[in-house]
Amino acid sequence: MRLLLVEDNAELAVLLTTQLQGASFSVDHAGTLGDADALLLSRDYVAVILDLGLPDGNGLDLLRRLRAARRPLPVLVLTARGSVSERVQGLDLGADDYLAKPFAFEELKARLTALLRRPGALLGQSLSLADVALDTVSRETRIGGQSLNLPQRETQLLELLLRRADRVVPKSIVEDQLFGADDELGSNAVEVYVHRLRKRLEQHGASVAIHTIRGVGYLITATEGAG
Amino acid sequence: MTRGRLLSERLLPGRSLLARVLSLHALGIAACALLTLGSANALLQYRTRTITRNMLLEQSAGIIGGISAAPDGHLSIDYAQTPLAQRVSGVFVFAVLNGDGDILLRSADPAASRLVHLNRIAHVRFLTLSRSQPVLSTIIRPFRLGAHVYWLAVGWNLSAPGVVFDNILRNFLWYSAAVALLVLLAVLAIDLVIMRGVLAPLSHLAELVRRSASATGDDDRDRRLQTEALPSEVVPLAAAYNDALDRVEAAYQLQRAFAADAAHELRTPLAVLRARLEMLPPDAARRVLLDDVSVMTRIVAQLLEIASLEQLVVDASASADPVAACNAVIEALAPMAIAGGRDLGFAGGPPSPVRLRIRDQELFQVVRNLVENAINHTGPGTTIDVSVEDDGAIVVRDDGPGIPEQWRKKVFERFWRKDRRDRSGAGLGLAIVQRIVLSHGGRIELDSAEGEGARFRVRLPAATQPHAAPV
Repeated sequence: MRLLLVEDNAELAVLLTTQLQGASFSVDHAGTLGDADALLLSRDYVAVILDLGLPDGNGLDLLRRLRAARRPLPVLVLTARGSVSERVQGLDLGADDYLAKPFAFEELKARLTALLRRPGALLGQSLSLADVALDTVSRETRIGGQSLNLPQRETQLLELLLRRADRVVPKSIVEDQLFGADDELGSNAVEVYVHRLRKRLEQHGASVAIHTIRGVGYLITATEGAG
Repeated sequence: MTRGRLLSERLLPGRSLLARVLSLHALGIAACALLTLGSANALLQYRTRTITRNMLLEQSAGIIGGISAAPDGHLSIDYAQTPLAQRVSGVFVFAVLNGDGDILLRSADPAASRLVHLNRIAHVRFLTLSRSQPVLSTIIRPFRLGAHVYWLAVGWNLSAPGVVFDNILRNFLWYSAAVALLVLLAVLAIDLVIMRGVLAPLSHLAELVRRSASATGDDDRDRRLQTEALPSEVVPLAAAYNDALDRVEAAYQLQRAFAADAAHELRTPLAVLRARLEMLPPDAARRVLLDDVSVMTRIVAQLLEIASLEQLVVDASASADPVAACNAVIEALAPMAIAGGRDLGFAGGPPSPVRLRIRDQELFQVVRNLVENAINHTGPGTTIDVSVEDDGAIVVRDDGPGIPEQWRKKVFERFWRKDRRDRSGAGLGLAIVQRIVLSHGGRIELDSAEGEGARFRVRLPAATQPHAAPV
């Protein structure tokens, strides 16, 4: 999986490249907008990590060009400016995610993985977190290599959570995705499925935990000790 | 220079320009009036004296012409020969003296006896006898008759009813003084009107400056004085004010930009530092150092927020949904809360949608800082509830250790932390909250009891356009 890293700070670029390679990505580095444009023309990338403050312009211009050319390439924006309005501007221009410097590499990796886990994206077919893996095509769930027979709705719920691992999935999205418009919905229908899924995962000793964020949604994380 | 200023300060204690102009003008006019009166008086004195002397010379010549000496040396006077003396009889007195001072001839008026005291010298002499009444203007002159020399003394009784011209002239001086005073007062009144008119642009300028200084617009060009309508003499003052304003503004911008720039500049080195640390073998030291980087990161982020607050825009037409803001904050902070073992959740909103007069990003900042504060200052196992009341008030409540009475005001101060060793942040979070809430016309309440947690309640005005499209 080849990433394009657009970052003008040479030290940070080297460090990030090393870390990303450690996480089994291939990385090309561009220090300027010009280099980035050239690389984007010559190779295919699965995602772009884009710094905004570049010596020959603003990274948002590159983003604008990519979106104008209708290239669906996921873009994760990195910036030293963390203000909310810039974040909004970046997302409006079609950035897929936004991370303010400095950041924990784990955070970058998680965001990147989440981008690649989106339906249709590179990792969209096989989702995994710690020892839990879900094949979105065969609908098979495995825990530590062992197949787990999960009912359809629990599998759907797990997929939703895994696509946004470490981030909150709003309850409204879960309701929309899990139930059709015709389904009679009890007020705690979602909670019932979450409870069942949680129980199944626990029974099989999975190193993940599904947290309930009261009134907001759900969140799956790897439990401590699991990578 | 200094003495001159001191003098003028002493003369003109008032600080009003109008009072200054009026008093200086009054002084000037009084001086002019005195000078005019003085010179008129001097001229009058001179003219009076000349007329008096000519009159006395004429009279004495007439009298001398009427005097004849008998062979025995006896003198007699023929009044027919002295028409003038006769005509003004009672006004003029005379005496003819010999060298020994004996009176040889005299007019009947008793005042004539006073003429014997005049010194007899070889030439004509004028003298005013004013020791006793009536005042006499006198002449004494020697004349020769036959072989003898005599002296004729003539006195002019200035108090006599016939002599009026002097009095009229003297009174005229006083009348002039009164008229001068009236003119002075009239001129001062005119001055007042003129100066009011002249000073009006200055008070207009003062009003402009006052309005400019209290202007709250974000556009600093609003504050600059419009010089087009000002008189040309006042324009330099207004221009100087505008220049000063520009310089203050530039310095302020520089200082404001400095905080933001410094924070920005720190971020990339921090990212480098963090990446380096993450590549070290995992041990206790690495974990501590990474924690340090997190603290620095948070401080830098808060500095940036403070810097951006300096250019806070209070948008009267803004409209934000408090429930959406609370949900967004909870979504953003839930991973951090879970990692720290806190139970963070949304505890309920109003039955019907409420909108507040604030932009989404500022409302997000308010709620995020309140929730971050709750996460940072409680222990694992704490429940943190965010809720929106029916009127749109946002409540962040925790069941942590609570905030003792003596700290409840201090928690909103910049850089205040209950423990200097507490390294979770710069102590800016709640200060930022308060700044945003107050500048939007809202208020923030803190209820707490030790051991029973803390409850922050933020009230913001409702949006003026309640159904504005959500951003």
